[in-house]
Amino acid sequence: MGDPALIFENVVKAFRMRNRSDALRDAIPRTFLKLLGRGGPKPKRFTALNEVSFTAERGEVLGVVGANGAGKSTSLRLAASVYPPDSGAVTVHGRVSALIELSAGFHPDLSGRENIYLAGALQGLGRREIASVFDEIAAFADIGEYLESPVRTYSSGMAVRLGFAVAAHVPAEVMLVDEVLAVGDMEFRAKCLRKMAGRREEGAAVLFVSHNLTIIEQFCDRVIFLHHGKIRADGPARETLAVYRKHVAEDARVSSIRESASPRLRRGTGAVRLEEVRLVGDGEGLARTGGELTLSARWRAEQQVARPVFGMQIHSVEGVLCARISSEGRKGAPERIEGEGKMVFQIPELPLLPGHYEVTVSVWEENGLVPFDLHQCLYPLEVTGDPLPGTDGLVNLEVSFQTSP
Amino acid sequence: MFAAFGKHRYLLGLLVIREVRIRYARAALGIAWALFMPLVMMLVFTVLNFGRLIEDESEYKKLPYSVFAYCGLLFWTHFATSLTQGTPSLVISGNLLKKCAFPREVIPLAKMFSGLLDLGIGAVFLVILMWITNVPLRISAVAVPFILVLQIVFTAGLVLLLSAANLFFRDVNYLVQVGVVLGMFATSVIYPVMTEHDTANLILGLNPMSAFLDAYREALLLGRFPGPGLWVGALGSVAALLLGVFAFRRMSPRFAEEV
Repeated sequence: MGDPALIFENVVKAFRMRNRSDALRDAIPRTFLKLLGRGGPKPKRFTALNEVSFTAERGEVLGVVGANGAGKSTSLRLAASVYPPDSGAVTVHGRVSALIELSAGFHPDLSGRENIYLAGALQGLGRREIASVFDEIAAFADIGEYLESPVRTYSSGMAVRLGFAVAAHVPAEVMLVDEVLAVGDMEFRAKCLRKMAGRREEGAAVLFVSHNLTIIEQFCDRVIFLHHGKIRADGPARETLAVYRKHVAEDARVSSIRESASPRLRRGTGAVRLEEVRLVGDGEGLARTGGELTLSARWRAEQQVARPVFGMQIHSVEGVLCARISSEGRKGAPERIEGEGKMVFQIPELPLLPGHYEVTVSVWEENGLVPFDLHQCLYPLEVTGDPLPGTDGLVNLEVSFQTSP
Repeated sequence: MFAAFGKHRYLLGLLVIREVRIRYARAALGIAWALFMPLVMMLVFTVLNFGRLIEDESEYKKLPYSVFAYCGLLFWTHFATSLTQGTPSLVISGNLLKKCAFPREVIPLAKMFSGLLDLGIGAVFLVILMWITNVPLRISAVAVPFILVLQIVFTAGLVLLLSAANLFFRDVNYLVQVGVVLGMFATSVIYPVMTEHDTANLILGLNPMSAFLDAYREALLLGRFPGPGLWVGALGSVAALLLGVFAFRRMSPRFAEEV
């Protein structure tokens, strides 16, 4: 084993909050105030990582989970030396490769071949090093004869695949993987994950950030859970994820009780309002594949409303509509409502596979054209479960299988 | 600075090639555009008879004004383009800065080096123009590469400083656009800079770009090796490079978070 390949010691990283301070207009008076000994208002700082310490051993996949803004990406960038820590130390033994979306460095007018060399050089490879893995990169990206065409003629999927392919072939002792699963098709994701596992076999340390807890559980030896820039849990994958799931469930309850939602996501005439929306399966905002899920809300109608339509939608985090259901035509659809009451959608067996989803709840006028109150994707839903190996996608199908001689 | 590149020289080379390739990639006239800017300016200033701004006793008066102006515009254009394109280059590449940890110098420097191709093509045209107008090319022309190195060093220092500063204050970019236009009139590009005030002349005489342009003209057009005026330029080059590298080194670790 030897030394850990990646060591974070009491790492602190804070960022200046930006409000137009990048204009000289503000900097000049500020400088003068400083010279006069009056500091003026100090720019606000946001602490992304606060005294974070962990290590990643050689031959280990270390998973990182946490909500958006918890410090996951900051950790990866510190490990990649994109910027230095404010205090503490980040030590890397060996070379770092970042399996992040590299197509940013691509130029549309250059061919795939030229862009491979450019992206490789950006990761610190020399010409010979790139040439020695060039064929593997081209095969991994699987772009066929497009290799010699300008990248502007590529589909977005092809460009992304090419970017990942380059990063995946940088020989390195520490590999950083940021949410590969958010891009590319199923087959390509599987390829990336296999590559990651291969790297672990070769003795590299892998730092793996993902929102997909199933994949994290499957691939990671150890997982750390970041919360508001601090490590909340660090240990074997199963143990950390248990802490994380519990936390997510509690968090979802807190957020769903809060009535004021961001106006961009909540709209409607207000003739009927939905309040106290609750999404309950195993817990608040938490459900199991094949388990029960209940969406309930209180409605309030100031005046009488005829034949309102209640609706519910489930989107995957990638924005795919998984299901839309409404009260229309169902037993229990109200003729008219007034005052206060409660609505419930009950799904006895949730057919969704594990992952992150977002739930929309709404109430519409009878033609379904004008929303009275629409809570677009306001309710996060985390689905867990143990689907059979080889199952993937969004929907869990009831399947029988047989084979005959 | 250049030693530190070591293995990243390859990256710098690729970026330079990329700049050159994409600059003319989808233009029907392609690389011919490289000639365009200084050539058009030279024609405009010649037609407008800016040559009358050259004093009668000046030895430049013997030269055809078109050659005088083109020689200045050619080398000035490289300087001006390097600054106007180099200054915003780090901001434009912000996405890349956030993702990879390559040495940041390569981005603005690639902009500057890629302009050398245009300069080379323009230089060929300068020789043709000299041949047409009967200005002999003499042995002193061997001094040109040395002057060019000094100019590149000077430009590199400024580009490093300005591109880094622009990440922190986006105003820098606008200042540079204005500064380059004003700078052309404060430099001996289309006329030898000369005012009626001695103090002003002294200050204008400290402009390293004027020193370079005068030196090019001496070496190429007047057929003699550059005089002591070039020392001003050399000092300016060293000062600019030291300042640029020092400032860049100080600021570059923070680039990714300032984008």
